[in-house]
Order: sequence, then structure tokens, then C-alpha cells
Amino acid sequence: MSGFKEGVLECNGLPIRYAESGEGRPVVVFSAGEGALCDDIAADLATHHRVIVLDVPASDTAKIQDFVQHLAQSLVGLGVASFSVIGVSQGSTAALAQAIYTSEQVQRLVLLSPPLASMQHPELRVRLREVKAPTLILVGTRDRSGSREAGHMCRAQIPACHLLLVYDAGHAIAADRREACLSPIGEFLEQGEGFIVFHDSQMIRP
Amino acid sequence: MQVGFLNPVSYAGNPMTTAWPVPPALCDREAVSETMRRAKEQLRLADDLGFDWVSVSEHHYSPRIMTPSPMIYAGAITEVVKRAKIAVLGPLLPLSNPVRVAEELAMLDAMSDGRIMVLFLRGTANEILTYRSNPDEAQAVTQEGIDLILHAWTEPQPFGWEGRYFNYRTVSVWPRTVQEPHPPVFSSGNSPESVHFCASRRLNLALSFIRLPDIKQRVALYKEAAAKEGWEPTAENVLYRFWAHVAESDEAAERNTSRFKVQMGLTRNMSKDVTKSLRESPPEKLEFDRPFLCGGSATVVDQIGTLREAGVGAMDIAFVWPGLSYQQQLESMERFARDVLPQIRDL
Repeated sequence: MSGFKEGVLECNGLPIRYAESGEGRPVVVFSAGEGALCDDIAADLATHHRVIVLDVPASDTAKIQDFVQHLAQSLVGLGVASFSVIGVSQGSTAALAQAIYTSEQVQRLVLLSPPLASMQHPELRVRLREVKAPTLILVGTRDRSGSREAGHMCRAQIPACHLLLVYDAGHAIAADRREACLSPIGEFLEQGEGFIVFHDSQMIRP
Repeated sequence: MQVGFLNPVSYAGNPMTTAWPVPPALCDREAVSETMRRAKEQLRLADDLGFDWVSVSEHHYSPRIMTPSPMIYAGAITEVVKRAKIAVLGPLLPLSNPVRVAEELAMLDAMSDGRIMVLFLRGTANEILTYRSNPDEAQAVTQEGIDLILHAWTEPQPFGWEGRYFNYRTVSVWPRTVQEPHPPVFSSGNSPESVHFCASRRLNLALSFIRLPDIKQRVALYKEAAAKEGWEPTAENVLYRFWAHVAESDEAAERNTSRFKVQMGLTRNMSKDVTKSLRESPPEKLEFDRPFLCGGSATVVDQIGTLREAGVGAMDIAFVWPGLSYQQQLESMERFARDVLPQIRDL
């Protein structure tokens, strides 16, 4: 990723590749091999946040509770004690698990185009109500992959969850409508649930 | 063949101008009351005569159709029309907040016990001038507005909308529409581009005040576009809105309607600067020398047969034409219902 410093994080003996850029409140991004979906927004978020993009192979999330708890400990080694989490598509499973099993460390949870499989994970589907972090789900209106249904499940079960439909975007939501994703994600990371309040002036001329 | 009555709500006085906008000073207050009295009388008559729906549209700043708020009018109709459906054809989305439109239509569907139909439009060129809309974006705004309204009616959970023209963080429409998943929705097909949008969303097609060859062309395009989307519309999916006059004979119909022609488009009297800025090139100049359906009942039945062959299965009819008295309009409605309607039901 251009402008990102790359490294390897050891997580309970497993090497996890990561790329890091920016300063500010930490944001951990689970790309799960779908880096192309998040490269653009990660670079933009890095202008205001310390963004750490993790490349987590799906097989590493088999024992998902152990994995995310060890990962949280490993992140402390990078000076990251609490953080927001972004899950992109398949990365949503790990992001969701991070918010459930390390809820004290996770400040905000953002899922872009979460697959239905993430919500049907045998460990996670019964624990969605345990997500404490304010949560934002972004789904494209042209996405037919099941993400919309996943968004409905999250909105119905996660206590502080907001579902945002991104008009005319498909599953590759950030690539299809980058600005439409960046703006609400940035506002949500800064303001939490307060992001639903607009402060744009409606005055035309003073 | 399904048939609706387009309630004209045309000004009962004489505004003495064809300009747009029409100065409010020309609006006689007593004539306004008489207009609304007549409109309700016609609604009750249409309900009694067996029309499948009564329809209302949205126009602004003119005596032509005095329903700038079709929602208010449709709300009143729910108390006047007891049997027929109520067709809101339609809200102008570039002039509206689509979430508000979704809410109001859902209310109307509840108030009418599930009798609402709706056509979303962008409005004629002059309507764009009403509330500071951008004519270059009117079609895109309308299409996004339709998508937003459909989501507002069908999403089971509260949602936000990050659109190109609309941006909301909290949408959660109550009440839900009585009809499931939502009232029948029509979308305009007067332009070829809009036909593609209509087919892509599996919406019903509405055509208005265009000529027969154009109707055939649009219907063919609609079917072709729908086939690419994996579905097959029927004539019931195609509505045509137009004028009709049914007289006691062909000669009488000709006599009643031949004194006047109708020029479409209220921008024709505006300055060239305005029409150029509206991107109307050339300005709307479509002219009709008689109503689409015009004649004695036998002739009108034949004309409807031609329309049916063109692929139209639903008609939204205004029984108005310049020079026709109010009494002639009522007689035309009654003659249509008595002598024509029974013969076209099975077309």
C-alpha cells in the first residue's frame, strides 16, 4: 500500500502481515485478503487516524476467540491499547469477533459489505448483542451478496448499530462510491452515534 | 382494460392568460371554491360510474390543475371516494423530500385501506422553476428518489441513505404501507432513457400525452429492456394518460372539440433565455388538434382497441378539452361509463 509502512505482527506464534500509516486514534482494519476493497479508504483515513491494516488469512480465524484476544495483546506491543475496528467484506468476521471478545478495547466498529456468513458464524451469531461499541454497517444498494441481510441482522441485534445504504454501490462499496463511504466513516469514528446529527449550515446568505 | 378518471381540478373561472406562472391576482376566490366543489362532484361520479381509480397529479403556479399538493388532495379523496383506487400520479420528486413522500403515501395507503397507486415524476420543464431545482439533474434526482422511496417502504430496519442527491442518517417509515410490499408503482417512460430505468426496477410504465407511434415504440423498448432484466411485462403494466371526449355522435364530438387545439408545454411563452437555460431545445411544441379518444361511443371503442394493440392495458383519462363546458365534461364521463366501459373490459 502506497505510503504505508509494512511489518509483521506476531500473534500467538502466528505471523500477521500489516501495513501502517498516519497518526491519531488507532483504527485497525481487517482486510482479510480483500485489500483492494479498502486501500483507498485506508489511505484517506490515515490523514486523521493511525491506521493499521491487517492481512488476516481466513484460516487464522478458526479459533476466533483465541485469535482476537491474542491479537489485542499483540497490538499493545505496537502501543495500541484501545482502537476502532473496520472489517471489510470477509474481514467482517474477525472485526465482529474483536468487538465481541475484546469489547473493552474496541471503541467503534465499522463493517463494509459484511457477508452473511460473518453473521452466521456459529460462535458469533448468538453473541451479536454483546457488541458494546457503537457500530456502523455500510451496504451498497446494488449488493446482492447477502450483505444487506447481514446488515439487517446487525441492526436488529447489536445494541448501538446504524445501517447505512450507499446508493448505487455494489459489493466493492468503497471502490464504487469512495466519497460516500469515507465521509460517514470519518464522522462516525470521530463522533460515534452522534454522527447522525448534521451540522451543515442551511443558511444561504448571511 | 383498466380505466381511471383523471380528476382535472381545473380552474372554474377564466384566468385570461396562458402564461406561466399565472399571477395570483387573476385567481378569483369564489371560482376556487367552485373548482373544488366540482372536483369532488366528479370524484363521486367517477366512483359511482365504475372507474377503477381516480387520479390526481401535481402542478404548480397555474390554473391548469390546481393540486400543487397531491397528498393533501388524495387525503381528502379517501373520504369522498369509497370504492375506486386512488392514483397519485404523481409526486414530483425533484421538488420533494422523498422520505416525506414515502411517509405521506404510506399514510394515504393506510387511510384508504390499501387503495393507493403512485407514479413518480420529475415534472414538466416549467415545474423545475417552482422550487429552485436544477433541470440538468432532474432525471437523476427522480431516479434516486424512487430508489430511496422503495427502500423506505421495504427495509425492515431503520437505515441511513448515502446518495448522490439525498443524504439521510435515519429513515424508518411509520406506518408501513397496507399493501405488501408497497402500493403499485409506475415510472414515466416518456423518454427512452426513463424506460430503461423503469424496466430495471421492474416498475409499471406510465406514458402521457404522446402520440400512438411513440407509445408503440416505448412499449417495445420497455419489453426489450425488461427481457434483459429477466422479466416480462404485460399490457397491465402499461398505463397511458390522455384526454377523451365521448359525444352522442362522431359529428357532435368533432363539433365540440374542433374549435381549439392544445399546445403542450407551459414554457412556450417564456423568454428564449429561460427556455435555453432549461435546456429545452427546442421548447415543448407538441400540439394536439383533438383529444386522443374522440367520437361517438362506437368510434371510441375502436380507438381503444388500437391503443390496446399498442400494448396499453390501463388508461388514465381526463374528460376535458378547451371549449367544453363543465356539463359536457360530465356527460362525456357518463357516456363513456355507460356505452364504452362495458365493451372494453375484456380487451
